[in-house]
Amino acid sequence: MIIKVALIGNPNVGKTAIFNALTGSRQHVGNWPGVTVEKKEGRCTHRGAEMEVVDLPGIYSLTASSIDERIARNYIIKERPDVVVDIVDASNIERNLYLTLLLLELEANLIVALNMMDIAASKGYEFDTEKLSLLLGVPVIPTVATTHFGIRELKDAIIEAASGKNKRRKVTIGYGEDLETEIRRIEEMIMEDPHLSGTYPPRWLAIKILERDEEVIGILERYQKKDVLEVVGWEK
Amino acid sequence: MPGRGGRIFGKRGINELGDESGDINEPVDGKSIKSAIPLGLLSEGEEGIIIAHRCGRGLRRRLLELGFTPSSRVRVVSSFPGLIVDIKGSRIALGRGVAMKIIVSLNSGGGKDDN
Ligand SMILES: Nc1nc2c(ncn2[C@@H]2O[C@H](COP(=O)(O)OP(=O)(O)OP(=O)(O)O)[C@@H](O)[C@H]2O)c(=O)[nH]1
Ligand SMILES: [Mg+2]
Repeated sequence: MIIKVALIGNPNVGKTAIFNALTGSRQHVGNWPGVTVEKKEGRCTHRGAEMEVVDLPGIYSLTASSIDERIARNYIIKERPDVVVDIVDASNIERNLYLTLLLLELEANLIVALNMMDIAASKGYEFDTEKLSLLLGVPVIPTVATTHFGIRELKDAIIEAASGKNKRRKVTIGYGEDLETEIRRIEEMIMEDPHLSGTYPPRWLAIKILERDEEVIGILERYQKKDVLEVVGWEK
Repeated sequence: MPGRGGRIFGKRGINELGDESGDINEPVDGKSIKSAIPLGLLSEGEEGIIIAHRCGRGLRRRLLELGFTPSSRVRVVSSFPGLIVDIKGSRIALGRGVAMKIIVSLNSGGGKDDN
């Protein structure tokens, strides 16, 4: 069995450096279908397990408002990688964790690689990675991609996450009472369609429909979930 | 956006979701604003604290995603030929029109800057 791994993160956080550290020379470069955005894929073997790693474009969010975001988001939603490694710039954590929260909402099988630890240290930042891991409900691995610090631990974490054995807390981001009532209501409507709710996380669909995310509206139209579309006043 | 963005979306009812009109946001924190000017009018090297987005919800959402959250400190790195600003440790290029819709306060201090 090959473990499918996707690397995702903000621009310039060291995704390609991590990709190179993970895959060494076993990589090839192509294009994403239909666009001229570069697609890097590579392989590595660790403790007898084979992984296929994809380096996704750098993005700040997961809406479909730019080609890079569309590529990254579609890859996570449609290709369903076994493990998603979110590369976080430890020297710029507030901005970076926004994408992390979006990935948690997407219910990806997530690992956080806290990269650029050397730069963070030179700024005097200290991290309680265990606490961060507890708060996010996912493994957090400190790395310095350029010196390969933490790469072995990252590979171990990937294998463990792929095995599905690691005990993680499911973290939900709350939006306050008013919105939660609506989210629950829409979630229930979505649950009535077992195929729909088996294909996409229902809470994620509910939140995105309230945001009037065009792709999610498209999904609900395909599934003919008129009741949900009516809730948000969506009519063709 | 969870967290600080909550102030913008928090109290809005579900009925308002369809509202695409370009409403002017209430200034955050109810502080009085001494010198509120569009980000697009700052010169190179100048800094401001974001107090409002003067645009519709589509653009506002995009700006929040890019880190232009209320109370954030923003600095103009270069203003010619295009505007480049530093916000939450990232450099972001902005169109002049968009920069005119971000209202900042020149009052120093009180801004929230992560690094
Ligand atoms: N000091 C230090 N530099 C790093 C680290 N990781 C990456 N870099 C450097 O940071 C720069 C950006 O790294 P990339 O790997 O290109 O980042 P990226 O996320 O792939 O960037 P985009 O694909 O443009 O979004 C490069 O100069 C790397 O050598 C790290 O842990 N520490
Ligand atoms: Mg790269």
